[in-house]
Amino acid sequence: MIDLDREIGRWTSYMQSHGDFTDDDLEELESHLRDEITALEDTSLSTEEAFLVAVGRTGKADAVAGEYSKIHSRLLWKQLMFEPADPKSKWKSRREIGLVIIMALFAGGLSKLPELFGIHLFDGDELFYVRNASVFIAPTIGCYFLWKLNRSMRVTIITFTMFLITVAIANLYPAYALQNYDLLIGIHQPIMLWFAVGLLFAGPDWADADRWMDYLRFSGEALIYLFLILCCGAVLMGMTIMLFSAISINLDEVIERYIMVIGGAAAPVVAVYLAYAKKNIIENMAPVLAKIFSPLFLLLLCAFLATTAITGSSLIADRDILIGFDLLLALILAMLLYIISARDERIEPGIVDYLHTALILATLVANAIALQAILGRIDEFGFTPNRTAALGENIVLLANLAGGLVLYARFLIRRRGFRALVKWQTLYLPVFMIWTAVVCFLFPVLFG
Amino acid sequence: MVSKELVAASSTPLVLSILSIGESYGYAIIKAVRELSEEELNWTDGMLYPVLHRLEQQTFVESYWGVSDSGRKRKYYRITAAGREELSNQIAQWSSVQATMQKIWDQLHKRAR
Repeated sequence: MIDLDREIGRWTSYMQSHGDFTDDDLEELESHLRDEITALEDTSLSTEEAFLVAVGRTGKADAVAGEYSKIHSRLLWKQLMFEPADPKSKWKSRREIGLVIIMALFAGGLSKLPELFGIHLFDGDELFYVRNASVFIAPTIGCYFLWKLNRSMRVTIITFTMFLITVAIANLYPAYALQNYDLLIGIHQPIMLWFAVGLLFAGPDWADADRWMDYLRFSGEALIYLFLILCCGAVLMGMTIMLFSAISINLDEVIERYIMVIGGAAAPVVAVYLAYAKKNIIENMAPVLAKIFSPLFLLLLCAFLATTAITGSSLIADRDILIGFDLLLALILAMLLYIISARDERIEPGIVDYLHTALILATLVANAIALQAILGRIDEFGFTPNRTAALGENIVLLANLAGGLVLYARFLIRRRGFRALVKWQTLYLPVFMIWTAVVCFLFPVLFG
Repeated sequence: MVSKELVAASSTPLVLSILSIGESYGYAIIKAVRELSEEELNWTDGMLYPVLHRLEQQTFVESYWGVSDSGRKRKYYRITAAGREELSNQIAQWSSVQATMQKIWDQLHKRAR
């Protein structure tokens, strides 16, 4: 006895990956397939036979997709805002858009709230905003997922408690008044809250590697949407200033104080909605960008290593370089993640995989050179919070990439499946989370 | 077996004719064609839906989501006024093609006799 729903689910996702079907098309094809199966079962075929015959009759995925693309090709861009045809879903999607607008405005309003208490972004309280920027946004996104995904009470409470604790600590700690603490927390707190939102996203499947991979993929798309929205927003504001300056009205102040702050807080909410609602509709951008840039980064790193080796020039070992290398590691890791997330696990290793392995290897070598130079400096000048944070990041990322390299190499010599690599990345996520928590919460105590 | 080109060419008048009798859904339309043609006109099932969607874009048919007897969601199609107009246009064209061929074939038969 086969699990028909599961087989049909597989079939639809296979069709989906082979052409630009809308959700509506897929639902219709599925309903057709089920009719066919029921009819075949009545002629005393077993469910399994009926399924196979029905799939055969529907036609090869590529051929069917080809027919569909003839009528869709011109609609491809429209699909981004495509409305479902059936009235119930249509109403639901409208309601959702309304809710997202309200939530975006709420996040925007939240970011102006501190002004009621006399905290102004542009009058010396910038650091308050650096400390709390993600706090204005994360809970709203949390609420959106809560509404969208129907999470259990327990998950909800855990996530929102994490939000609350983070806010409280970020703002009550100044008693310790750590130098540059605001900046540290400004960088680490968003990452921590991102995990908290991820917990809500994963819900009951919080221990499932695939679910977290999904979340990573989703986050990459949301970031790309966010970037696009912010770019368009900047153009819009530029236009506004230009038009009003033509009639001698200076809007700089209004734009800076209101539109930029509110818009900046609202944009991530909209980006999350877009990435979530449209996740099936257009090709994912993050893996595509990763694929384009990974060979280029490999070239860059090879050139860098070769130059260092030939000229024998030593590294300027200061904190900024260390942070630079942290960013490099994070970037390569992100690329690796998106390449992994988009890869079909069943495909045998190919030339691209050798390229990725080489990229990780080159990154590790370059980083080892930098690390060696910097460790010498720390020996000389001791540990400051910033230096420790940068060093910690480097080690955390390094360990991840090294593990990734080993698993990738074992996959290349066919000792291990690709699955192990996916598992490693998702299992490693808590390490990042713990490290960011240490920086946010323990550093003020340790260095206070 | 009817050739692929002919199947494609006849799909529009066939679908419009079936829908002019009463509203229907994809699976039933395919079944009706298969039975009426005594299995001579064999559509690949996946090909019908693009035809239906093209007809919908041309406003010859309209669709809505309903529920089948077994309680599943199902997309139904019905013909519009423009569709009926198109159908009579198509009927006229196909009839003249058929009538022309028939005349020649009658002569052929006479000569054979």
